[in-house]
Amino acid sequence: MRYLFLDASENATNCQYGDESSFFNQRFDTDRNLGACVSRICDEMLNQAGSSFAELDRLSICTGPGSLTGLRIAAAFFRTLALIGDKPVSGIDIFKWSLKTLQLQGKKGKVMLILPTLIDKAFVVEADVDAQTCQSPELQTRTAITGPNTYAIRCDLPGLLRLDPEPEALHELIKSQPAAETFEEILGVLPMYVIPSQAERKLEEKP
Amino acid sequence: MITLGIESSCDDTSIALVENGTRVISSLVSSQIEIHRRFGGVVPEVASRKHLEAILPLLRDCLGEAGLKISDIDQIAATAGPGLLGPLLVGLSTAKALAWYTGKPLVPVNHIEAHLTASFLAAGRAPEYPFLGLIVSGGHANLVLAEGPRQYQVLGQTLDDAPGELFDKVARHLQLGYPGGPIIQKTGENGDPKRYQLPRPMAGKGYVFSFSGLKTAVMRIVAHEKDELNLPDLCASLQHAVSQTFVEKVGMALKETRARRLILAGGVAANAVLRRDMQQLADRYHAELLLPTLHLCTDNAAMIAAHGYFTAHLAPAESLAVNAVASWDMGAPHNF
Repeated sequence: MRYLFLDASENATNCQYGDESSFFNQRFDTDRNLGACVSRICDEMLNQAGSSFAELDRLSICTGPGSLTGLRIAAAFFRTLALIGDKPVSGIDIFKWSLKTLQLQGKKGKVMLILPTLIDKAFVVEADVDAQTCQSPELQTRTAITGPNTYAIRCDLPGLLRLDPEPEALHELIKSQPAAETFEEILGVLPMYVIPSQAERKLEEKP
Repeated sequence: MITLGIESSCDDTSIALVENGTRVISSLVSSQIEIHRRFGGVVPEVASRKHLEAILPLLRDCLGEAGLKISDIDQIAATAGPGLLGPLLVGLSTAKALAWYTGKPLVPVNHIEAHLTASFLAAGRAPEYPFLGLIVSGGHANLVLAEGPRQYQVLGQTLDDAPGELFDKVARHLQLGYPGGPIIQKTGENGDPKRYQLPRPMAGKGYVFSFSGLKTAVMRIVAHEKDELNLPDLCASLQHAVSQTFVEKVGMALKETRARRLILAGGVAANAVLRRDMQQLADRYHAELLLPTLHLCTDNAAMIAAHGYFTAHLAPAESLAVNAVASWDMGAPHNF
């Protein structure tokens, strides 16, 4: 299965191309400019792979959490390609990717996954490495998060283990996870929205 | 030639198919007004989410309504600015995916310029130059002399609030609802436009507009009149003040430029008082007035497709590398 994956959840954009036997990963310093270079990134990845869009069997995007603007650019681009190009598309969230990474590292049992946000809080997810299941993310104050088997994703937090989701785990996940194929299913591939916007928070605070 | 247009600069997601820039084959709009009403204005983050949800169903329905396939499209035109960045990026990224997949050209379109083309599209005509254009909306009050495709002499613009913004703010202050323009028009329908004396901002000061003072003047009247306030008269007086401000400056421009064609465009161009007063002004100067139909006044992709068609020859060669921009002066090259 040949796939192209785009992760725009951070300032830099991570791309991965893979097939049944191998994969490669590349990081693009897109900063806040992904909107201008998303098609060039796809061209570069496919050129490097010696492949073409027509030869792809699957598209995949990271659904976050992360930079909402980046996630939306990737989602708008890949969902449209999935629809008009008649390709299945899958959404991979960072918690499931992290959990798969832990499994490939030989970890077992229950863990806590922490992903800091730009505000003073962090997403916290309880997960089971053996069953590869995650509960829904919750927002908690960063300083309140401690405990054994607690992993800070892509960052160093005092007292916590660092975990960087790995390309191998992503490769396994994309191959094993079902993808959206029908129109309705494609519409369901969206960024994770856990934090309400500032205006929504203000509205909720009003009596 | 069939152009597919995409518009997502604010709170309307829209996709349209236009033939040769003058005939609308299909045009669909998904409005977010109800979603933003509870906030009293457009929330960019919420708008971006809704654009992403709405855009693919609109694309499918628009093609379906026209009985066309994506391979039947000759070019894609999308709003690249000015507007809210998050919403713009959803539309532009969708357009890029279409262009990248089909290999068809992508034309980045200036949203404000496209509003002017909407009036010609409503008449089924190609833009004819020169013309005087007044673009009035929630974010803009621009008076321009259009001399050719993407060639504008900006005569004047607002220093602060735009007229649509003024209507929104006043309607919110009066607790009338959102969006303000249609509510103020309806409330003021049978009101006396001369009951309350409101200033004519920047009267006699060239082509510069300013509307924040009008908002303050309305608030003073509300505070002063208290229970005696006559809401229909106040709304009628406000519309009269706004409209007469434009009449003075557009009249001056018609005289100075000797333009014989006047275009009224933008969301506030739907205002009945302004339409009537502009018609009278055009008649006085023996100028032709072109007004967009009401559904072409508000944000729509048909005007984007039409403007894209008429300006495709001026589009940058590397249009897939164009990014969305919050600010983009009319006629200026796309800065990417």
